Amino acid sequence: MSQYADGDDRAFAVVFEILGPRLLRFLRRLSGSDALAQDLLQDTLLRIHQARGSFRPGASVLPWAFAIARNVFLDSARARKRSPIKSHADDADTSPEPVVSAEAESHVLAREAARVVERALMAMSSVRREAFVLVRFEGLSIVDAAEVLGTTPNAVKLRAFQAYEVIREELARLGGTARPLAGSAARASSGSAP
Amino acid sequence: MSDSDSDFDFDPRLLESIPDPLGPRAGSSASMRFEQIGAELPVGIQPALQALPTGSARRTRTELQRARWIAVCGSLLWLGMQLGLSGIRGDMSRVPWGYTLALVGLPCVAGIGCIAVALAPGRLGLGLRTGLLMMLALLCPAGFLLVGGLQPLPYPEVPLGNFQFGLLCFNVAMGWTLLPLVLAAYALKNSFVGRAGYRSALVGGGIGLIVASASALRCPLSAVSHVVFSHGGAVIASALLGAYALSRVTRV
Repeated sequence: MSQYADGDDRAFAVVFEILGPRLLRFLRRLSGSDALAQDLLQDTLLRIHQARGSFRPGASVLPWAFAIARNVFLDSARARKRSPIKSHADDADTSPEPVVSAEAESHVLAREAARVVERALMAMSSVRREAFVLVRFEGLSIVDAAEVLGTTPNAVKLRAFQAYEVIREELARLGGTARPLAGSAARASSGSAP
Repeated sequence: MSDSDSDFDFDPRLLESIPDPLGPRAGSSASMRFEQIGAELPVGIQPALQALPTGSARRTRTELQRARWIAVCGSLLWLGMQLGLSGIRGDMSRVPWGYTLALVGLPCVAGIGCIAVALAPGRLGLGLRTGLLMMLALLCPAGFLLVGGLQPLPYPEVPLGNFQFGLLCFNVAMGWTLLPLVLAAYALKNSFVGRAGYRSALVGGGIGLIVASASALRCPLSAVSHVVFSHGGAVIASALLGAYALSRVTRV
């Protein structure tokens, strides 16, 4: 990335290969739409190219890139006036498959759980969704996620936990697989209730 | 429900029980391809490279640093020229050093500090913490109003000014801030990935404070109301221009 920031356009190919798939997944999770995610990825890469001179040498690229992608998503959402996005989770074939084995049944359940998770993510506020996606799916630390979102680590923890509670409830309705880890129940020492 | 900043403790490992709708992440290795996550690559690498803008939109690190130096030198030249044309206030020898320090030295240092904080990249290149930026963006212009408001008259016969002169002084100060703001927009275009609003407000406020210190060297009118509303008003206006106009250019 530093080479790219210094003007080496050949380094863009490497940056593109490494960042592209991660950014696409991130945008897909935020937007809930493959087509929109691809459009947003194009915009994101363009903004990365325009802003590459401001990249801090030696800093981690992913949080910086995620922050740009998030800006692109927010701008897009504002431009679309926050019109509801149809999640492709609902487009998938929902007709029951003939279950022939325990393995197949497990596969069907896993797919249904994934659909429930995606629906729950799309239904919640983008503020909670962003925090949850960054920490759970993109693997950022709480501190790094807070930097990307421009908020405090405490706020990220709260938002991610609230999102987790919503998704867990949806999965429980499904009879899904989400179970809290034993002995690690969340507690709020401030007394602020969700 | 609002986010509380009081300590909220939970184990992030809780989240691992939630399945990933897109399937397992295949890491960030160069071998990963779009097909692995079920999406078609929208463009190949070569077309994407060709689609990238050329010319002024292609800002490398070197070009950015050069642009910033041009902005700084241009702004200093501009202010120096304006001060040279206007002349230093004729009663400078009668003004106590404390007054000069409060309305010239302190705002100048604070203004430079604001700009330095705005440009600080932070740990991840996303700027310093939001709380700090917000606090400085509010406190520095407000601090000028407070310091200006608390100053006693430098000497008994000092001219106080009136509403018309106050408006004139405000207009002159705003005129002096405009070129530095434009140069800042040129130098900082697409520079702020995170907290662009607060950082741009700090740049605007910083420029306003530096201009206010130059105004205090030029303007002999010393009524508290004049200093607070005319000179201070220009600082506030400059900060607001930074927050709402400059940020549109600086934000990535």
